[in-house]
Amino acid sequence: MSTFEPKIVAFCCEQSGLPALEMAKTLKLKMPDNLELVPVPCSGRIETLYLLKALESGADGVVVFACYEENCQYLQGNVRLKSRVGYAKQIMTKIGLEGERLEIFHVATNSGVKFSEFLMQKADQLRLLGPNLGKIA
Amino acid sequence: MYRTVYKSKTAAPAPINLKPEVLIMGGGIVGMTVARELAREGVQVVIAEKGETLGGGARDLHFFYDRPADVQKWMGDLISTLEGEGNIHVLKGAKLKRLDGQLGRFQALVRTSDGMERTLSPSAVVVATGCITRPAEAMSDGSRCIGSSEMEKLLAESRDLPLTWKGQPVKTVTFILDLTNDDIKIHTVNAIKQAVILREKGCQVAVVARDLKVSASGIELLYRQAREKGVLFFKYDEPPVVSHTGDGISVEISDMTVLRKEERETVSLLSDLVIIGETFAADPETLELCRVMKLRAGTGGVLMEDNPQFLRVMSNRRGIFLAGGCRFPQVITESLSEAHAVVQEVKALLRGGVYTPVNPVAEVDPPKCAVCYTCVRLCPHAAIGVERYGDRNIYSAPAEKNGDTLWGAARVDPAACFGCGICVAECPARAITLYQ
Repeated sequence: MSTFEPKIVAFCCEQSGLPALEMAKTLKLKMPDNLELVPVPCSGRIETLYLLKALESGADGVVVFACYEENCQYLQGNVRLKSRVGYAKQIMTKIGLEGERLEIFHVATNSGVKFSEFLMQKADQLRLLGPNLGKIA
Repeated sequence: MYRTVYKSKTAAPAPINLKPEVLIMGGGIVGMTVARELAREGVQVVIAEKGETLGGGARDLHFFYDRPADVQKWMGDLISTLEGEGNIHVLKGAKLKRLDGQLGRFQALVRTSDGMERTLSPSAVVVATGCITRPAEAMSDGSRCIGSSEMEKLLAESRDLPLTWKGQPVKTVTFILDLTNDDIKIHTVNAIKQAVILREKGCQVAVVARDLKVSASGIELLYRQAREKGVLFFKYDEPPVVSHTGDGISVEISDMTVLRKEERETVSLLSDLVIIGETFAADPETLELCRVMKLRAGTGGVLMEDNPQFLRVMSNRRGIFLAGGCRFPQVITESLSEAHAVVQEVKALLRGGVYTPVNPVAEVDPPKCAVCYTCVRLCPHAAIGVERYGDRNIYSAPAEKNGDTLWGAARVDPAACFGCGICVAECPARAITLYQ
């Protein structure tokens, strides 16, 4: 089990998550090794299906980096995302997946440190949880 | 490492022609300033004013806080320059009945008080409808308790003579601030401005406030001037008690300079007049306008977006701008700088006469669209409408409609789309794609 490196899929809103990622890269902060990034124009672009598909096709955890509420460039994208993530979590509980595998994290453009810290924490948490049993790979 | 959710498309969206025509809702000082500046640039401006005279809320004002000019005279000059401008057309008693289309194809139906209806096709719409006030509750008993606009009028009428109210001389005046609208600085600005003028007339002035708000440009200096001229400022925690005495009105507050609460004594200010600022209220007409124009109304009936990502004067729809009191009740100087910001934005939009969509833009695939209106309801920028432009698809109703060959489908207007992808994610038929 010690060699298990969880795969994290991170959806990044281009308004906040992506600049935060760029900042984290510039600062050469530590990131989990097994990370896949999906930039989206707004967190409201992310469908419920995207979140579940990611888990199905090999991710151990899914993280969505969105803007703070009432801070969305497109007014209510992150509010939409919240309800979709809630719905996805309901489905995950029904099929027996842990809710911790899916999480929204609100960042601002300048929170590169927070960005990397959260991802490292998430990787530790997933390492404890073990591999995602729902994946078909 | 990256994956992308965009689909690329070789054909760029067609540029949209914009002719230099602007509709301004509201003929207050903000609307008039925008009109004057734009007309100078050769833009055809139509001002739709709901009343019969121009001027709006500024008709109640007589003094600027930051310059010596008289507001009414300044506004008279502004109105006469507007009348001399050939590019400006003023519709009085006007009401916006409909606003269809998107940037570049706006169709506005305006009805004037004489029953005439006219259709305008502006390239941009500026909303500057201002705000409304109602008398503060404490003023309801009437005697010796007046609003700040009435005080403004008294001051303007008495010019160089001593101040009188209903024939009686006024020697002492107390301002009570922050009873309502604790988040708005207009009352502080008005009170300090009037207090300085009152001191020059030889009155004794006290200002009772919870917090003085000096965040407008130059107000701190004015506050210092007022202190130097001998205006008394008191702070309160508990709302002051106002009671009528034989020949005056007394305001009782507890002395906040004593630190221990139980040792505080009551200070009583006996004065001839008490001034209480009016309460700012939501304007039902502005809310109606929001419905017609598909704008998002913010909290408290004002149009301000509580969102730091937004420029002050931007609305949720491209081509519609907000300025002045309808955004948030504010002092004239700030309203005017918003007016100038709107002018810059409109000029930037109309420059070159074409608008080319730049963002990633969503597009509906008509054969897949079931016309469920989900995207129409969800689009935060009101960029989606249902139009007859698609071929018949599996969702279409079975009967042919009187020879019509085109069927309804949702259509995203590329000029109005901001490219957020909310509709793409929500479409149950997966008929919408985001193209870059």
